[in-house]
Amino acid sequence: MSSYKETLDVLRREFEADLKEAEKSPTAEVIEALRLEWLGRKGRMAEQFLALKEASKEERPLFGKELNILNSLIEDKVTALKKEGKEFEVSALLARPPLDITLPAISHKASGALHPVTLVRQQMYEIFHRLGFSVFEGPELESEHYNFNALNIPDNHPSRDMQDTFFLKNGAKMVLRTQTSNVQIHAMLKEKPPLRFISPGKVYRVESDATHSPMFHQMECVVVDKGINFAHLKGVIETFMTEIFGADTKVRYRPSFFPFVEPGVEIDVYGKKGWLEIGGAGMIHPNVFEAVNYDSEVYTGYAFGFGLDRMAMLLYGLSDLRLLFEGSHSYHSQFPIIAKL
Amino acid sequence: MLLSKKWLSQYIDLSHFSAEEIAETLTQLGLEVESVESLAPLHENVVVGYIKKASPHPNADSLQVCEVSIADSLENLSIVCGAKNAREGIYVAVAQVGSILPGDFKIKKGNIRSIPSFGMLCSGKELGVSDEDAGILELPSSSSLGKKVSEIFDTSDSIFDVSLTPNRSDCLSYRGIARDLGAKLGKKLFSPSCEYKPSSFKTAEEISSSVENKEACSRLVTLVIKNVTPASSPLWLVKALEKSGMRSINLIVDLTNYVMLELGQPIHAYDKKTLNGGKLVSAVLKKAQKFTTLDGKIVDLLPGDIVMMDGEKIVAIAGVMGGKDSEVTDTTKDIVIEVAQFSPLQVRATSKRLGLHTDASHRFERGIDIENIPFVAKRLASLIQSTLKEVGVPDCEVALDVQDIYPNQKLESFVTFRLDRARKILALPLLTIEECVSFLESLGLKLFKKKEDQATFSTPSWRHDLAKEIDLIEEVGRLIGLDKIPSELPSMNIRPNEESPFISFQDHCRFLLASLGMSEVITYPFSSEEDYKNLLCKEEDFLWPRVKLANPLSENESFMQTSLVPSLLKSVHQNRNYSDDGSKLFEVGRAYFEKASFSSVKRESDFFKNDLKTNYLESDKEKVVFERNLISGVLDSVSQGKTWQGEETRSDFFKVKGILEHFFHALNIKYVEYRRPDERDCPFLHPGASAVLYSYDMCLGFVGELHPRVALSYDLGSLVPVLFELDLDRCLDAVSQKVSVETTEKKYPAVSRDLSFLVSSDLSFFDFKACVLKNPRKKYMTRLELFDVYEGEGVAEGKKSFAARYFFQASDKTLGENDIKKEVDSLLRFLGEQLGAEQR
Repeated sequence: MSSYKETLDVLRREFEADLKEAEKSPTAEVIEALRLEWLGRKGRMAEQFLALKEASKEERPLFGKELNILNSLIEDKVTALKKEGKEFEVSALLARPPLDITLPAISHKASGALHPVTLVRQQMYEIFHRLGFSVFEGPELESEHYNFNALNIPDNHPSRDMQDTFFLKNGAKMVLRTQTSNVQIHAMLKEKPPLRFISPGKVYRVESDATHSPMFHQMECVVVDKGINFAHLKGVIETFMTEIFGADTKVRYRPSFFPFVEPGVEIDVYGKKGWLEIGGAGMIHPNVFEAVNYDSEVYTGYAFGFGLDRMAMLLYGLSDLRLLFEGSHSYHSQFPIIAKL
Repeated sequence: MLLSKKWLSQYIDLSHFSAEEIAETLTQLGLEVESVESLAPLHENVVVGYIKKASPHPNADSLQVCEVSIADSLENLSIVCGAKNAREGIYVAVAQVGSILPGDFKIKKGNIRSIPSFGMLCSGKELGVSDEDAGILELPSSSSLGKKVSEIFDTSDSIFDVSLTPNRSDCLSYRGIARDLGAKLGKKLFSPSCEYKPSSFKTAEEISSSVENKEACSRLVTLVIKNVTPASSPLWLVKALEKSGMRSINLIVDLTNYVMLELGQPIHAYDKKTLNGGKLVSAVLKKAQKFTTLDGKIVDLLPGDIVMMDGEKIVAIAGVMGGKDSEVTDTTKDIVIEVAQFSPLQVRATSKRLGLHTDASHRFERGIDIENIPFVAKRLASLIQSTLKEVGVPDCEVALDVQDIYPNQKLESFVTFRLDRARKILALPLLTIEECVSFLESLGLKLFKKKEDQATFSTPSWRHDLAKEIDLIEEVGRLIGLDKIPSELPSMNIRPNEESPFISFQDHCRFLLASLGMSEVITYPFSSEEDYKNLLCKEEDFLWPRVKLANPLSENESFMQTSLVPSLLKSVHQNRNYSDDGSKLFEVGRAYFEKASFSSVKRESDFFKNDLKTNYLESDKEKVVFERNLISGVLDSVSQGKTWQGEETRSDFFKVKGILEHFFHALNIKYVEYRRPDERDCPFLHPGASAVLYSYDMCLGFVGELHPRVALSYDLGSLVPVLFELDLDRCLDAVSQKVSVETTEKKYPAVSRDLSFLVSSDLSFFDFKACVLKNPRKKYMTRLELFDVYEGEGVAEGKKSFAARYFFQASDKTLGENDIKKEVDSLLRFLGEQLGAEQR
């Protein structure tokens, strides 16, 4: 008479027991096993629905109804447990013993660096780009014409002695450029004024000792337009110097001589060790404009050049110029990758 | 150039200026003072004393014991003295115990033949105030007791080391420097005297001088002086030269040097009796000839060199150096003085070729003051006469006149100065024409005419650097002081000049490699043929170095590199020597080639081919050489790469390939293909563990393990580094112009199957994969990921297996078992047909 009720009671009890067991460690696998056991195609409930056919006519609708109720109850419980199970897994993962985070890294050791000259150059790019300058590069193998004559350094002139030059055996009158100023000529031949550019690169002189390297880096800064004057030269140089060395940087100008500028000056910056020579500058000489067919009555301009290696040594407190070019891994890997200090 | 403040004060009153102030003023004038050395005055313990009593030394006949008073209030000092003139009643210079005399001579308490001595009585020479060393210095009786001798004889001085730029030849002299200082400080100059007592003979009667080529020698002044009996120079002359860094030779030579330093004009003096035929001719050499210079060196003179000749032979290399045979010596009696102007270009060419850079050639090549030449000759005559007299030599005889050959008088040169232009350039709108004229006149320019705000000047003969208006503007700026010019930013057209994308591209490349753990280095681009032989290159290779330096620092550095590989390998080797065997280095640099050699290159390869373009400004169409931009890297193998999680994987081909793939991906360079290189491509890499990289048809570079034989020559052992080198300009070309992104939404899940295929063992994975992706019946397969390559036991000879996970996905449904099976079957069939592959 109450056999279906008894069956239902047993089912309920057994499910509760299984559920309780599963709740102890509700991992995805345990829940899936529970689901299959009770709700699977060959599970306990399916078995009962199948057995329904054998129940008496009177009992069948009642038993069926109760079974459906139980079935949805089980479904609800399993679904609820699934939700709970996700939480459980998160806590299980969290419960993992903590790592000794002080152990050394594996795949990415602290390595990778840019050369100090690159770092400084990139800083200069940033400053000059903001001031509206473009970057031009030029050749290192150069004819005497572009390296000297067009820059108002005639053949056989004593001012050639200011730079001890490497000569090439290839072709007539070829040299390794002694200064980045050769780019002035290439740029002015290629472009029409106004011009506003910087030009970094390697330059070469026949000298090698503790403070001189046969190869080093210069950066040229050139402005050509109508009405450019000496105050503008000062303005750009001082803006640049304060960006690099700080707002209270003092700059001094000493009259000097570079054949491609007039008036020419040497630029000193006041630092920890007193005045330090940083570079040379001046108003572009009319003879240089003549060499590139610019009308020097209409256009004026200035050029400013300085050593990048020296700047890098100053900014990073480096003492030995030669170390910059020896390719030592342990030395170079100390530098960062991002320029701004 | 070394400058003595005392000597300089002969031409300008500097009494109110300290050495530091003078140095600062000179520097602000553009005459950079690199250092100031101060010469100390006599030691303060050298004082005036009075010999109260002088008695013979009991133990030595030649010595006396003197009782010397240096102050009424002090006890007398007992001093033993050997001088004959030491006697009672004279005032003397007493170096007390503790004083230091010139030459770092310290005075201590002595004991001379058992008699104690408390100091020293000094001779003029010992004090450095005269040549006298026969006895002690006797001071005037008016001298006050105890007074410091330094207050009587001032031997102090300041020596400025001035670094002159080549345009300021006028400042290669005391008078020139004084002139610039005078203009800045507003002071008058004192002119040196050229007075002398002439004899009755004329120079032309004694010597016949002439000029053969007036371009080579534009002015020649000669002067004969007789009876210059040899004498050594007086102390002041020796000291003056010494302070300017010159050595004393003899009185005549010293005075020619003195006048050169004073007035900037080189002078040569000949021993008159050595000039054959009584001639002195300036000539341009027509035939090569040997010549012995006065320092005894034999040099080769060539046609074109300017020489001075007597009736028979060369007696001097004009403007450079005199000859051994005609120099003024101790036996010289009569001299011929030559003061001239020689062609600056030729003097420079000759002195450079001979390696004879002299004080004379230095001045001639920079330009001397042609108008001042006669004055120089007279000034020298005046000094010779007065100095010989001073050292006690009877009157010498100076010719009545100089002989002056000046064929084409130098024309005055004029430069016009516009106030408006000066104001614009110097950014000084308040500048007045009066100010400017006054500045320029103070420098020796002569106002020729002035019309409103425009002034025309004739420039002084000693200034060779004032050729244009801008030069005058510079002078005005220099005298005003550049610190008076304001500082402001230019306002310019906002359009920037076009910048090549290559500029930022290079830095992106640097950044990427650094982020991948590599360190950037910069090395010298010099190399040698030996370096390339070590790389197994041959002379007919493109890679063979051909850009050669005419004057290298050393044989090993006589060529410009064609690859960054040699210098990177040297760095790796050096780093290993310092036990740094994990070098991961890269460099961005240039390689240098000769265009003419293209035709002779027999072993051409895709990487080294005559179609290179480089992204830098170049306007020289005739150029015989060119440069390419490279980025190269080297990863050294780690010999003991242990970490706490186990062995660190060695730097091998695939590790570096990983770096490169990341690099290319980040730069949006697509379709990079790894092809097996042949010998021409990179002979220095392991033929089995290297690849050339292509993006479509463009060869970007190479990557691979170092060839074991090359490793041997670099002493790198068996753990070889892995290298790569890429052409940066080509890499930029290979960058895809657009970013392509798959835009169809993936709504349905992907399904994967692991499949393993047996293929011929020489089939590359690249070809295998290409074949897989080419399957014409492929509908759903999206990608495959290789997880195993196996060859060996269980696999037939000549076969290998590629095991990979294949992914399938559809855009319109969830794939069912059937769909996958169909697609896998079609793949099996296709690979079977195409590659003879079987499923394993």
